[in-house]
Amino acid sequence: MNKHTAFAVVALVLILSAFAAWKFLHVDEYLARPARGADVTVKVMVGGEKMAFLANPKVQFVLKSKYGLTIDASKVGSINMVAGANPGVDALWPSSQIASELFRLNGGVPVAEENIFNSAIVMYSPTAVADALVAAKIAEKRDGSVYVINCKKLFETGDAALTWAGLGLPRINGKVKVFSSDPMLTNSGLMFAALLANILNNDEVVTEKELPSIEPKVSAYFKRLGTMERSTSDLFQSFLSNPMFKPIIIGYENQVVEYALQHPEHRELLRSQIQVLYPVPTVWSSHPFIALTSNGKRVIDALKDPEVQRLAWEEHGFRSGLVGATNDPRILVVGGIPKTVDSIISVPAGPVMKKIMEGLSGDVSPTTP
Amino acid sequence: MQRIFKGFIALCALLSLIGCEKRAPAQAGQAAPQASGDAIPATGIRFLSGSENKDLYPILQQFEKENGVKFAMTYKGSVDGMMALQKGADTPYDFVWLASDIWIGLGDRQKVVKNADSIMTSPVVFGVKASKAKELAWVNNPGVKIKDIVEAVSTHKIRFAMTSATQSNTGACATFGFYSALSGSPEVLTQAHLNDKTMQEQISKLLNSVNRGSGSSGFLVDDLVAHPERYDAMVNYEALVISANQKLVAQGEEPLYVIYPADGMTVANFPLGFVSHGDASKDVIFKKLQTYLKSDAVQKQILAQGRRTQILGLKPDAVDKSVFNPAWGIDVSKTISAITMPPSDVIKAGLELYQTSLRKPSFSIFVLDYSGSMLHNGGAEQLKAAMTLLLEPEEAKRYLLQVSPRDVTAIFPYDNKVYGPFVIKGNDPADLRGALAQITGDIGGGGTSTHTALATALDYLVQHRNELPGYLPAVFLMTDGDATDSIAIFKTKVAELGIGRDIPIYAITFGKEVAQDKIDEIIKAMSGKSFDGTQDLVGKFREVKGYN
Repeated sequence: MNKHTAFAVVALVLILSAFAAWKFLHVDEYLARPARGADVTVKVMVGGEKMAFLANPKVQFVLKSKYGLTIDASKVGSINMVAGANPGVDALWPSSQIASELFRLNGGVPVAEENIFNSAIVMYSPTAVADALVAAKIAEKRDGSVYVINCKKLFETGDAALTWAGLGLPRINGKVKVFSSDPMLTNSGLMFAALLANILNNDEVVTEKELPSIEPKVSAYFKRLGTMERSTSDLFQSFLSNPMFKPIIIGYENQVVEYALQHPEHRELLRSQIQVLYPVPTVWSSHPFIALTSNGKRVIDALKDPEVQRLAWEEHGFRSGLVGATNDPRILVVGGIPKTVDSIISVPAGPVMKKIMEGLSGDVSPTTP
Repeated sequence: MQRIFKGFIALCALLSLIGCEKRAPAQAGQAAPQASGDAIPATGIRFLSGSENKDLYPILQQFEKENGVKFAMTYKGSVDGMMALQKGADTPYDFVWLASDIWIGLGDRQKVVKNADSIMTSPVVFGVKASKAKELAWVNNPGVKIKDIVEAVSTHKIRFAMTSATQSNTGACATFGFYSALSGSPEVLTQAHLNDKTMQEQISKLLNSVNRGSGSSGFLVDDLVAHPERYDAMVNYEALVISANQKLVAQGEEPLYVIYPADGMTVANFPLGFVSHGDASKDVIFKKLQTYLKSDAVQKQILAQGRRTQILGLKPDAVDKSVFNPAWGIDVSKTISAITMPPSDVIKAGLELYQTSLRKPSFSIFVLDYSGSMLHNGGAEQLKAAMTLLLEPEEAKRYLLQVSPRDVTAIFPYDNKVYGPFVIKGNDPADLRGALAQITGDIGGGGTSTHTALATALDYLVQHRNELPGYLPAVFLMTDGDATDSIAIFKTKVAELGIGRDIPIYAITFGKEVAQDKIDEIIKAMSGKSFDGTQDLVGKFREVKGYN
């Protein structure tokens, strides 16, 4: 190779690299955009399940480069963050509509509020358990890979309750029950309480009218679960360590997606041994962004950015909360995730949920020593 | 002048002891019992770990070396760990690594423990001598239930050892397993089950057949390995049964066969959590440590120590069969059935029930040094604080040290003379407080006739020899170790009475100049252990009481 050829090759590589960088960093899009706002750091209280998303450097890059925003996120439970005044905080980002309603019930007035993501409340099971549920016609497999579970039978109690032995799994002791994390401490636990209340109300949203007959049943169900995990991720982790120990757990749909992305070495094992069960009906864990200041309001636009929404789905498993948006499961590294989640039922209204929580705290929440 | 000087020295000594909790001197007197609740290392990262993690310390040392940090380790049983966390933001630890998130949940009411994440798991199992397991047809038998084990223990087919339920996770898990099995295996245990008199009688009978209480799972293994002839079975982590078996086999002894009860036990998940005291650099180190412990290389080292590490269960061909040895009944592919741990209020009530009514009663002899040296080096104050923990019912309840209605407590204070005994039968608060008033009053000050006092106490025990099989007897010596009488007095008495090794003696030492060699000689003549009472008195006292 003579000098000229070498120079030409180097020049070509440089040009190609510059172009790749241009595309990769979305400089073209950046230049096409109107001027971004001034650089600010926005203080946001965030439910724990979105911390990994906000820590994602690609998300941070878009927020900063396109919108001039840096998020100073602190991890606070969804119910805790709406309980009192939060001076100096620009926004709250809880994990459910319930939290947003409680915020208003407590006298909160947002500057703006918009739902950013949805995450379905699902169940996780070892494949052997999922298949046993299919054989017992409690669950069915749709499109060859998506497990859908009819909850009614699953939540029968007393003598009518299913036993694991009855499902052909004699090595698992006792009656079939669905484990969740503590509903007084975790949003997923509380969403499960909401779902359970609706299911026990013949798949209808519970209102004040039915509540007196439903609430004791919900409390009684949680009582059967004994000591519960204090965070959604603790339950998911212990499930992965010993899947047969609590063979059906409640979780967010995005947990398995996020875990598989962070642990490529476990993807095959997850695919073959763990299944996501979609309850019919189920509830959305929505992620309303409650802006308390004008800076907080700027974040709403940034989070609606298509690139941010894409990263949220592909790398964290959060479905878009925006009207008309779709999410393609083929892009994900895990299987068994449907394109859309059907049979979504609303969570009961704020005052109803408040009463359900009061019932749970009497029976479930640990007493202070 | 000299007296004032001595008094000043004694005050300084006392303050230096109390100072470990940075209490205002004005509070020191009244708050003495809590004064040394936890020893607080002054610098470095204060690391509270379950005692069963002790053999993983080399892995932590490797991290210390690589990162130039130093961990000040404190090892405790899980229930003690729970009590430490009840102090909330005042918890004197930065890193917390307990056996199960149940104990973090019960203790950490103020939610100060952050980012807790499971490092490994180990199921709680029964280890039964292989020959006994065969005899009972438990080998390769997946149907063995807790009630079968209860039956074998109650009918003396196996001699069984477990840790104290009020100190250690394995003891507590086993006790809740027993409660559940004897309540007809309900879906979840309730207060009503605990109140059932028939269940209480059955469990009391069972616990009376348990050879010995022990403060921690690790010590139970040491004890069983040192005295394999004493027990046939124990409840412990699978990991610690593996470790016991490796040692037993090396000694040419029979290994234990692992039983995973069909009606369920628990799996310890060993979460490591962080308590922030405002030092951001510790947070950084914590995250580094968590990443390090979860790294493939370190997880392999942990696996080699008999802990389970892989997600979705271990594959039989992925483990070292000399560790997870199938011949010992260890089966990593087996479905482990769970007992649903009851809600926290029921757990608390169950632990209290164990401590106050169900455990085998204690026959406790306290031999307390009130000599001049103890008065001057602060030892006497610490000694009184320790006895207050036991005899003041409210204090005892706080630390789960309650005397039970069936316990016998005899106290022998001494200087150059032996006083008492002050004997308390049962747990009437008036009796307990009366004895406490006697021994916290103005007594002592002369020489140190430790050996004569011990000989007197042994005489008392021998007088009650016929009653002893119904009790867990133990002698507790609290002294600064500087005896002025001859050890021959004590040794002659031991030989004469022939009680020797079947009654343990636990020495709690105080003062700065402990004559440890003299203490060791006393312990050698019987059996037992010595503890430094100047550090973490509550912890030490709970530990020694765990042994009886």
